[in-house]
Amino acid sequence: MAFVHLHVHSPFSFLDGASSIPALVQRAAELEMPALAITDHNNVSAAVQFYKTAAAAGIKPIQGAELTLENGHHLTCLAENSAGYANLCRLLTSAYQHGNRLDPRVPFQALSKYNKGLIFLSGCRRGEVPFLMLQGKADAARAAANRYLKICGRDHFYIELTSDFLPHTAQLNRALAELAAELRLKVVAANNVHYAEKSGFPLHDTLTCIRTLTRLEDVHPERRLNAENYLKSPAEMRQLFTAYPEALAATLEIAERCQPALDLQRPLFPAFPVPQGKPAAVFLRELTYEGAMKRYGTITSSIRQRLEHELDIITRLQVEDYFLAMWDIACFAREQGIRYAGRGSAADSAVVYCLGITEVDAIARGLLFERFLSLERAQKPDIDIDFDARCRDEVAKYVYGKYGEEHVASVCTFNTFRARSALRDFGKALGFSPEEVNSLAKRFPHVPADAITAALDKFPELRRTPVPMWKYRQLFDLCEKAAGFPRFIGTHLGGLVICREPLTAVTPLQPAAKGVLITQFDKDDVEELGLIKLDLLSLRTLSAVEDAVASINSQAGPSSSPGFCYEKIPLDDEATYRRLNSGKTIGAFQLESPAQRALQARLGAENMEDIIASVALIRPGPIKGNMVEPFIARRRGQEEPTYIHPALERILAKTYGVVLYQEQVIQIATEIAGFTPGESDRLRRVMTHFRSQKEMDAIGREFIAKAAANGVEQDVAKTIFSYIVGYAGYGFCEAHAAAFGDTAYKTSYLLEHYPAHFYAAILSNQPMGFYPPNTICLEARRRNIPILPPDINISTGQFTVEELPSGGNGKAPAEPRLGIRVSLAQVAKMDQTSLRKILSERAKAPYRSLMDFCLRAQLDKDITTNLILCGAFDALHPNRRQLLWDLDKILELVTGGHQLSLFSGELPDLLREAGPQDVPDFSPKEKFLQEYAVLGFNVSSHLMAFLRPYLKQRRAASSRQLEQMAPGKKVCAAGIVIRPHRPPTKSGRTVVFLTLEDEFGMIDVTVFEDVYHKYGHIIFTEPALLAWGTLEQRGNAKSITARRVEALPLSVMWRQDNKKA
Amino acid sequence: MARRVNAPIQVVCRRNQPAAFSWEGRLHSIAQIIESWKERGEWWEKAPEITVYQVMTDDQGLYELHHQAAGRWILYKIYD
Repeated sequence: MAFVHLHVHSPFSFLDGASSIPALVQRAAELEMPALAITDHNNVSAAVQFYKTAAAAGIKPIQGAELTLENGHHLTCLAENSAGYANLCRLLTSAYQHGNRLDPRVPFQALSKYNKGLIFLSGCRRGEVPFLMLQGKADAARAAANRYLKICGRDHFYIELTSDFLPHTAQLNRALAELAAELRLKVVAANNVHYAEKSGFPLHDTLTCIRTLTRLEDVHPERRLNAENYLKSPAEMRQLFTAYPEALAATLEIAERCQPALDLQRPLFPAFPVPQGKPAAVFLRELTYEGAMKRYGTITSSIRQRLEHELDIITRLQVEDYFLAMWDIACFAREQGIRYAGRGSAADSAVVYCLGITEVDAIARGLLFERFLSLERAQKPDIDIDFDARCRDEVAKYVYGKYGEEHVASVCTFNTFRARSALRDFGKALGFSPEEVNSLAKRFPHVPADAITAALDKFPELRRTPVPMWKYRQLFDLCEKAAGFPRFIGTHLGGLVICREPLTAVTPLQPAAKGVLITQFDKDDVEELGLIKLDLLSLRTLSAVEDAVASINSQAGPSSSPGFCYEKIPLDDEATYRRLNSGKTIGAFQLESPAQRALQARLGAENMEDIIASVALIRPGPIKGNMVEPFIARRRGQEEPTYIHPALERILAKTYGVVLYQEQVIQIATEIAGFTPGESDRLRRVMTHFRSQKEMDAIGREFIAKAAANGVEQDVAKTIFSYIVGYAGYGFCEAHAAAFGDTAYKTSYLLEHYPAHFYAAILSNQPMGFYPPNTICLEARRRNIPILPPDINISTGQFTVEELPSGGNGKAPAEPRLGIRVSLAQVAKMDQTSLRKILSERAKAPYRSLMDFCLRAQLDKDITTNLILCGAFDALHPNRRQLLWDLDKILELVTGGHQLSLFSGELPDLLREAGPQDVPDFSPKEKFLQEYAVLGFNVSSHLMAFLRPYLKQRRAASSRQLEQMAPGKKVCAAGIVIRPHRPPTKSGRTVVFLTLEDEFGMIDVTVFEDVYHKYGHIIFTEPALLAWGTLEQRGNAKSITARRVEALPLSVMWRQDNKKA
Repeated sequence: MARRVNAPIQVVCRRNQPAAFSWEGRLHSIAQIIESWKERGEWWEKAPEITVYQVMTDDQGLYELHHQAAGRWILYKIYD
């Protein structure tokens, strides 16, 4: 006799399910079960993946959930059909409304209202009926069962019997069966499954410890006593339920009643409210042509042809409403003055360009619309828009207002176990100290949790460590088993869904930590359900641009450009290209990483096309495909591009014969092998994801065969395919590169012409970009823009640009010198309320002293202390230590109820009476450390400046000296390590790139595999290094190829230096 | 009150259930299995899974027997 498990937890029970959905389904298939249910705690997040996996395995998926009711008891719930699934979604939504984000509770009222199409089982031992029965309260259990019977109906409520080998199980099942018989209810057998096989218990037990914040050796009621909650075979279940054969039969009866309840791919996007009731397609056409007139002036036949082609596909795919919705959002942003930029493959569309969503002219660039949308692929369009990070929520609010709160929600995302997070969580549960766990986790690169063992073999910083790795075998094993399991649900950065029906019939909604309602499905699964995701993203670069433009326009004097307009930045500015060619582009969007700076120093970019190619070149695909060197050589005219087939010249001319963009892969497949757009896109996906060699070989054979049929010689076809294979890994879409290229160039322009304004804006919008704020400050200082300390009477809530007094030689300089004033918001512990208070009091009158400040601003002592320590009162009183003494006394007097009058002159007298005077100030080193602790960077100095005497002893050259040295020289450099990373290489060998930062600037260091294997353990763990090697000239920039690396003994040096001082 | 014994014993089983055991030179016949359950114990210390039986012998004695997965039996407790 067959059997079906109807009470099963997947990893979406969040730390209460220890087998993946495929593992559960595979086990059920092995056991020849005709169906399987998933009943996670208060969510249906597994539903789409379960549906697809079960369907592939030939098993009927039964969607369900284990509900927590308002009284805290559990109730197992299964959807009979799609109406039942919709009710389940409503019930779950009500649970989060009635309870809260972390403790959802379904109210009985909702249970009475939304129970149609649902079958309920009385639950595990936490179900109300079994719970009361176990307490010996048979009458109360009967009353509870009667209540559920009344709410759910006789055919929809079953008494659940469990075979879990816990104490009193036999008596409990007996009592429950008797109760069922008395109430003429049916019994059903279940096993409250939490893992597929018995061997899954240790993982489940440890996950339970993580969930309950306990260690394995602790006792906790949530811990399971035994390993019986696995997917038992029909034979085992038969043996365990010999006394209740009807309970076994009921599982099949329920499975028969439950039909697949999930409707996938239903069109759920709402109709756009078109004015005057026009059809959406008509309105979209009007808007497109109106926009085309603005963009192009004249609509030529080729423009018309392209627009018609796109509109035809959009209409046939019935996604006009989506385009109109995105157009409407862009209009709103424009009207509100919110800076935005469309990105991604949507920039392949001329219609999107004409609608004003992107700034990339797809027609002029010859971009391929099919990369974005094609009839054959018939996938959902995906238009991503970046907004000024501060205004993104305002845009989202507009969408909620337009379509109604019930129809809009944010898309969720699942935080999953990766190596570091798994090591931290499992390490704590296994009883390792937090320090030990942290030190271990920090050593690991960012790899999936199931790559931990492989990483141990691969990375020298893990092999050569004082930490005995054998100690952690059990930990590594558990981490690897939990790889990819969701840890918690969160909010997707930008995704919103809009639904024509109330969303709660499609997905349960629950509040996220930041307050918005989120779906229980992630971005991929919402699309499977038929919802279209709108990606409204926050981009801090746009916020920085906005701030920089405002700062430029607000600055008076000869250096300002009145009415500076970012959109009108000339695209052929020679000074900007000179800056790019120098490789000194820290702060420029997408062009600031060491690899990008090295590329720029060699490429000799002269136009926008070069910038766009740069954005696409420094990606894992082109790097692994060894395309960077040929591209540079051909771009610089040192090598002639060659084309082995005439068709390739047309496709690859703009990238000098190198396959750089995804669009080119599609075009090659179409023109050389005669692939249909759908086949080409499949090729593009195989190339860009490169998950399987088998898949690659298969599509390669197809390509060569079709090319041959198209009249291309087999050898030529093979060679062309090898170009594409070389590109495999991570491709980049030209449209996306072009959209980013625009911002990359314009931010480089700001960097060249308005560095003070742009650095200030970058510092105000942290975290953003590749480098920490300390590096940005250093870069500003290197360009002769001093960082000015926070000043209680000058600083605002942002980093601001100030004109510095002239040198005093009597001559007015042509350009005033500018400095960047540190923001008060940068001070540790500063909050918005305190900041507002400081500024509003200052607006009445400047602060005259610390006392004046304390009495008027009345801030928390910690904030005032931090303000003193970072120098915000230096202009009023230069002795910071004295001010700290004064602060204590002032606060004592204020809180002591002393009636103080600012104007009586009483306070200074009181202070003099109360404590020491003439306290010596902190030493420069102490101030340096305090400033760093309070601001996160240093205003006027750099750690390496203090260590320079020691570095001279070690014969380490500064970055400034290295600039002047001849290439080929053997050198030693020292500095703080910035962003060491190992990009992929074609050979598979490891190369580490890192930057050493000192008080004068930076020097890039390359570490090849042999050296990395010797010193990897310090490169990725030490904060500062000494590196010996050969100075290389690469284009206009210098770098060191390291042969030896040593950790800088910072604490020893610091102490030595202090003693000398 | 109960006395912890924790000593290995010989057990006679019938239909996979303990029927009698020897302890201090006497064979104790089991009249009734009052309760039984399984415990996984300290798996991280490689402790074996056990099945716990609370039994009443013919002479009204109450005992707790542990059966380890490997087939070993332990008289764990005697209830007074």
